Amino acid sequence: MSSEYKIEIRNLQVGFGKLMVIKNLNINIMSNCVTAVMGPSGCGKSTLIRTINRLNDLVPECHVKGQVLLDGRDIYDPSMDVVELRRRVGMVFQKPNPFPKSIYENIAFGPRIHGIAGGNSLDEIVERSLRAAALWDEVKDRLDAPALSLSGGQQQRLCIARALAVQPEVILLDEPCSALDPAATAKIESLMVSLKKDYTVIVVTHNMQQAARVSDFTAFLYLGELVEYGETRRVFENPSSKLTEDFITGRFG
Amino acid sequence: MEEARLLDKGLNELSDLLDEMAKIAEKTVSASIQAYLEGADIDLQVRQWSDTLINYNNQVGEKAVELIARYQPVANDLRTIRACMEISYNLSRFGRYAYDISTIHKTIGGRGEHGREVVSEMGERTMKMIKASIKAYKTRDARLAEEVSEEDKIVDQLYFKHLRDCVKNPPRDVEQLITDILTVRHLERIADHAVDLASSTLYMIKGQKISKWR
Ligand SMILES: Nc1ncnc2c1ncn2[C@@H]1O[C@H](COP(=O)(O)OP(=O)(O)OP(=O)(O)O)[C@@H](O)[C@H]1O
Ligand SMILES: [Mg+2]
Repeated sequence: MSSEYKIEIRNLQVGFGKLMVIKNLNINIMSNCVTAVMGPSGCGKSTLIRTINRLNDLVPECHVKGQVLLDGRDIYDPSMDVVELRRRVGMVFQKPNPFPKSIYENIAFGPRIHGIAGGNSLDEIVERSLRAAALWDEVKDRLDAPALSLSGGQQQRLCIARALAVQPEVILLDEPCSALDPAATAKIESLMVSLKKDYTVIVVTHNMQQAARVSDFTAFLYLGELVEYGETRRVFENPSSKLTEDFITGRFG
Repeated sequence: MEEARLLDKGLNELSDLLDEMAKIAEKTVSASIQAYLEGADIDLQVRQWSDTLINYNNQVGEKAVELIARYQPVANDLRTIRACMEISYNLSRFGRYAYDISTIHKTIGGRGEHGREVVSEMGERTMKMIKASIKAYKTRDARLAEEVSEEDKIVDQLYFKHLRDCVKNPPRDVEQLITDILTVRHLERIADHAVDLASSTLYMIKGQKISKWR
């Protein structure tokens, strides 16, 4: 099985109680690319990416129809191991949310639960993850310090390192920079681009220029529907939909 | 009425600059052709207009860079800015070639009956192309923009026909021969820049240029 698509979403419908949020959405996400998801507040971006690791399952009134294929396999199939799914599909949230533990323990937590792969020591995994998240040099001398003593930008990179520690395949980021200053934002942006070498990256962002900078593909979501999806350069230079055009040029009413 | 976007003010400034340039460029080419046909000397005036166009072209470039740096425009805004830079450059080239036309007879000498007919016909068609390309830009008319490249084919034919005629029946007066050929050549270049201008307009409207070599 060697599809160039890491994720294929087919006829997806997601609702909360009576409210339909995602309406029959189809999208294929390319492996080893950064895909940006844009759209006005409330259009369903977070809901969409939370279906990819079944985080919505935790919301009682949430119902999901359709298929989400990861490497061709439906993740909503009853045989799917959800814990394993969430290891393979990691998530980073808008607000950095480290555990109230040491820097080291934040990273070690996941591997301890999921088991340590490939005979690596925990120390090795912690170092490799922090390096991959471009945080190692800043924290290597104080791994025992509380994670909450880090700056916001460092905390967010710690959360990325924590997501990487369990060796996922896909990383979902939901507005990962909205609480960060420009310097920290620039670091996370470079990081997202370098991560695609080893991972498939999906990022929800309200920052158009950020989507333009980091992503290979851009999806534009409006009222739970996929209005536009294509190569980022094309979407930003010559969008095919008037809605996208109005949204990205700031003419949205 | 909605609040205007900050970028719109800048785009309007670009548009005003281009309107001004278009007026001068059209007048400049028209005057240089006229002067050739009437044997008049207007190179000093044409030089001044041409310099003004070059100056405006620099202003457009600076404004465009400022807008890109400050507002990170995308989609039709981005295409408009790129098109404005290209259009402004093409308008400044009109002026430069018009200046060349107005000075050839001074550097080479000779300007007579021999090339009159072809200069007159090519001049008319080139002016028509200039006007159409400017109008297509101002009215965002994709159809009209594409017609400009059709007209260019005729200008090219006239140009090559003149070259072949000169080979077959060269006029005795070599100065006249060179002056005419260069004038006709400059007109051919101007027409080509009108196609470029129209192509930028098409890009602004539709996101794709005129495919010249189809
Ligand atoms: N747990 C929930 N229970 C009920 N409704 C929800 C829940 N989560 C989201 N919704 C609703 O689903 C819709 C889409 O929300 P979602 O969070 O996906 O939007 P979004 O595109 O991520 O917006 P934003 O840009 O503001 O983060 C909204 O109307 C929201 O109220
Ligand atoms: Mg959201």
